[in-house]
Amino acid sequence: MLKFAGVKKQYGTFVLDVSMEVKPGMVTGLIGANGAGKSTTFKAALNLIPTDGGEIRLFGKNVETLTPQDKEKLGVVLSDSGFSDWLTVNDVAVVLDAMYRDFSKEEFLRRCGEFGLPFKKKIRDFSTGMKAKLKLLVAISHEAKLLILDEPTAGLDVVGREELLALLQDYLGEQEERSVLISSHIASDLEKFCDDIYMIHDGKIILHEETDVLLGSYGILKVDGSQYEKMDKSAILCRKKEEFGYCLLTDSRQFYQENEPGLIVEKCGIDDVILLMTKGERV
Amino acid sequence: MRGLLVKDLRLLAGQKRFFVVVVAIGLFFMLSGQDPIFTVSYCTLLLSFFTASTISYDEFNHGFFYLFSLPVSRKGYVAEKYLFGLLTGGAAWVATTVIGGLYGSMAQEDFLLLEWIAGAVGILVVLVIFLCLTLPVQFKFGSEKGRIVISVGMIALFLGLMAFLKMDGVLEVVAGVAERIASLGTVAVLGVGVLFFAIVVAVSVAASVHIMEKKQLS
Repeated sequence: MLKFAGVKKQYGTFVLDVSMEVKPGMVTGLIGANGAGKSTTFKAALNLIPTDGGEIRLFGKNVETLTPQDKEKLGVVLSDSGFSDWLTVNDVAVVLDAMYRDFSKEEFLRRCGEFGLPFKKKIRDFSTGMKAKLKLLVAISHEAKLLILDEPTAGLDVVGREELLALLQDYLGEQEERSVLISSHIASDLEKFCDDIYMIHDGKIILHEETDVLLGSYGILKVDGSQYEKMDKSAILCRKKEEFGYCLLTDSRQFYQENEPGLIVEKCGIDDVILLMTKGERV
Repeated sequence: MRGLLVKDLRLLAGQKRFFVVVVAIGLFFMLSGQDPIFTVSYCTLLLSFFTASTISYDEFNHGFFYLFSLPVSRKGYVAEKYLFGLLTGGAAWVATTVIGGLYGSMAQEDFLLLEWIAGAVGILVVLVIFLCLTLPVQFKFGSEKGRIVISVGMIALFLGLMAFLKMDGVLEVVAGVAERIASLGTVAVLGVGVLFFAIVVAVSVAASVHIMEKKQLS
């Protein structure tokens, strides 16, 4: 569906160097701190910025050769831009109707109504949450095969996030081959929603894993200095120095639970993995 | 391109108060004794200015990124702006030419229809040349900087032309060329005009497409 092969982009001292893939029917998450390269990756995927090397293929074509017809199969949310602030929901519906062959105006307006979006108010007068809802409703309004969603839940409260994620789940459930590339600062959103996750740091992909494996097999070990010296480190990915000794990230929690009964072994979430992968050192 | 046109027409509809004021001022000038051709030029050019404003709306808040993630090509974007400029300016031109013609025929004893139409066609030519000169600049520099570049460019062009015409013998050469063209007959003069017009439009559109395709979005 979407494939990055050695894609490079340089901004001053920042270098993006990404290889990743979104497979048909899969929801792929891209997670990383601010400035890690998430938005640059999204813009490169949409051919909105020129790259310095590598190739991006979308729907089997080089992204630079995409036609407007190809782009009808894309639904996009960008964190820092959207429809003109001087338009209303009614205006957006008419514009989308003229732009997409598979757009359903009635369905779009019905959903906007359900989410409490005013039809005649200019977008500039919308709250951050209302703008986020509108962007996502636009992205899923025209039978897109691939959704590229950069921080779609930014600015939403817990209820709003849950509503939008449920809407996305329904959308994906309608057709099996629909795919999503999504980024979010909120790891719990991605834990519930993604089939696999790429972690990006300083422009590089530092981890790629299926979400089930990440949550089911990864773990954190808390060990003191002497335990660290003696233990088997073959399944340790990285370590972070702490006051009590080390915090260790493993991709095989069960191995340590079975073979190192004296160690504290805990489950971990995506936030823990990010923290250790970015702040810790490789073992 | 249809979607972009609809978007710009919707943006235009959101500014209807501004256009009501423009039309009211134009009508006021006409009814207060000004030559109706002034109303035609005033309304036509002011409405076509809105094309530049739509570029400003598009680029505001990093809007180009989102716009070009939609089913829109950069070439299509350029074509739509020329078309939109022609449609808005053209609509104002048609309306004011008809109203001005009707008013002139009733209010002026020496009103000549052919002369009126010739004058109005002249305004239409100015509209197209205006769009052809300003749109590439707007695409290159954006709406805000573009206005400054256009103003400075117009002054420079005017001063340059004045200096050129003051050079020894230039006026005679220009007059000679004009005489030679005029001696070719009406059809030939029209042909030269249309050719010149087509070259201006083609060069302007090609330049705009080139600028947009190379433009780093922001």
